[in-house]
Amino acid sequence: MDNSKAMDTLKAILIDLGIPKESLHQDALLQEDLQLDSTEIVEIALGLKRRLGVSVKLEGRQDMTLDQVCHKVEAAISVHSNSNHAS
Amino acid sequence: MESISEQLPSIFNVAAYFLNNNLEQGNHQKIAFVHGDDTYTYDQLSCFVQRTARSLLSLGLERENRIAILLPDTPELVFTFWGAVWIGAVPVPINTACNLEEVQYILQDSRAKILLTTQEWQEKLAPIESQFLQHILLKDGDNTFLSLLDRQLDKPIPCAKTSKDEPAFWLYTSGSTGKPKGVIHLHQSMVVCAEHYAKATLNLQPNDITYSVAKVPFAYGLGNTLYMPMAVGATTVLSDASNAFDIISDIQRYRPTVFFGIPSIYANILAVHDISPLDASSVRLCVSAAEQLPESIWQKWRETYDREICEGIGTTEFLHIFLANRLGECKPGTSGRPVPGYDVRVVDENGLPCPPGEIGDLLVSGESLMLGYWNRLRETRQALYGNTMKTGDKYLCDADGYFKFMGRKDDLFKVNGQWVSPLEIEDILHQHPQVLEVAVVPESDRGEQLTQVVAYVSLKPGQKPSSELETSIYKFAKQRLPHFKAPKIIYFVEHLPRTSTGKIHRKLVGSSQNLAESFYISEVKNTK
Repeated sequence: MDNSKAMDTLKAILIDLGIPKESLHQDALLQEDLQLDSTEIVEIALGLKRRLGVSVKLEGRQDMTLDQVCHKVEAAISVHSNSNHAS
Repeated sequence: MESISEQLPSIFNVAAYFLNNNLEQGNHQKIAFVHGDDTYTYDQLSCFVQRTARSLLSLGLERENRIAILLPDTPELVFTFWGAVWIGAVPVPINTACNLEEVQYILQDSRAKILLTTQEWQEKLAPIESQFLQHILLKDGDNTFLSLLDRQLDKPIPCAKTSKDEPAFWLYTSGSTGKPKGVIHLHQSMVVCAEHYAKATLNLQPNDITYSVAKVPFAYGLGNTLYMPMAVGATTVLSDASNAFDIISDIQRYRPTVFFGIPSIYANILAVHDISPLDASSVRLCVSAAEQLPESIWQKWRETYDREICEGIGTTEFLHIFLANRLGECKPGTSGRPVPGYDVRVVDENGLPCPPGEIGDLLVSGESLMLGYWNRLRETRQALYGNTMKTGDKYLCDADGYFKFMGRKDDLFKVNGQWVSPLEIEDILHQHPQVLEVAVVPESDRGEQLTQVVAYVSLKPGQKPSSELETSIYKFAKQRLPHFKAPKIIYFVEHLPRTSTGKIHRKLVGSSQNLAESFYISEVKNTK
């Protein structure tokens, strides 16, 4: 998957959560900039699972940018596809 | 049940009581708490508390002076809380989730002489407008609080000869007016809760490791983390977890035996089970409080992790839990039965006991009841008579003696374990250019689901309900409110029902059946 698909999906999830589209920059931090709370971050992970089939643990101790979340998505997909090839 | 208070000497310092008991019982090398990779034994804790006491004295903090602690759950918070109590000063922990206005208010209202916080908070608060504040101590930066303690000698310092009836600490709780209220607790209060709840109800043991989702500045978190483990010589985890993934990871790492959760976190952990399954094998006891736990979550938790959740309910005014379910005797969907030492009654409008199954007002009596609200005589007098408090909750007691939450007497409700006033949300939604009137109510499908914020909105003339308008209102709220307070569902109605005096009838608004019969309700519904 390319980064743009992960980013588009992430932005769609955030828009569904009521976050204004204009604040969704790739460098925007989930907690500090978008003011997401713990339940909303869980909802992002559930949305990624539902829409892309990937399991991404979005731990909250270190705030993450949208770009960093997308990297996590790509890494999770890569691990998943490698394990499928291996089996 | 014997009075705990009567068993304590009149001269009694609760910091010395808990710390010295552990040392006298030989717990010198026992781990008192874990923070990150660091562990602190009871010996080290005692040493740091006395260093802190000495430092605070040297800064001019005197008996009965307040010291505000605005920190996440960290060793510095623990040392300062007990160090202040040791010298007879009064710690005031402040929740780091408070907004700037609330923190400024608490600093001013409490007249704190010292503030211990982080550089980040200091910058956010600048300038602090409190004529009482004399020192700001920082956890981080060039001259840290711990470096101040390192310069202190390890020479014992006698504790203040406080009275058991003397204020020991304050906790701030949300008020219906929007201004937090300072709840004053005594030196004896924590012992009462530890004896009745931690020991007699939970059977907390020295080999337990406790883990609390609620942070120390909450009454629930203060007990779970700060004094209940100390009361039995157990270990606690000071965690900086901020969501379910962090908590799952912490439980894997620290292997707690007692998990003190809140309903929304139980729901979130279950929701992410396919992404990050919890290893609950270390946990012998799960507790929930802070808001009503839906029965569906209780059942799903047991199916998934083969563990009951012992739900209970308490208040900041009583310091901890006074109604609790016990392991093996849980009745899901209820707050359980009275904790020993508490007299809990459901009464009618004349103050007479309600028969089983009938809804009435919840009255609670017990020795851990607060002294009062700081500088709020009217609210104190309204809430208390003798050692009894009118909680403002509506309850019923069933034939088996289990108490079930049935709602609030006022308009307040809880979401994510935090009090929400509908007025605050309505004030924001009123500012939306197309909104004419609004009423905000909680909905939980009669306790089957977690409470959600629901807004009933009527529009200005010429405006029509649409999903675009609904999204616009939803975004408007999220940009101006903490996200958990933003409405999850928005209903458009032609008119809102009013009382005979012209006020919006919120109780009738909450009854959608009544609304549907009397008013047009738009089909637009936010399913996000």
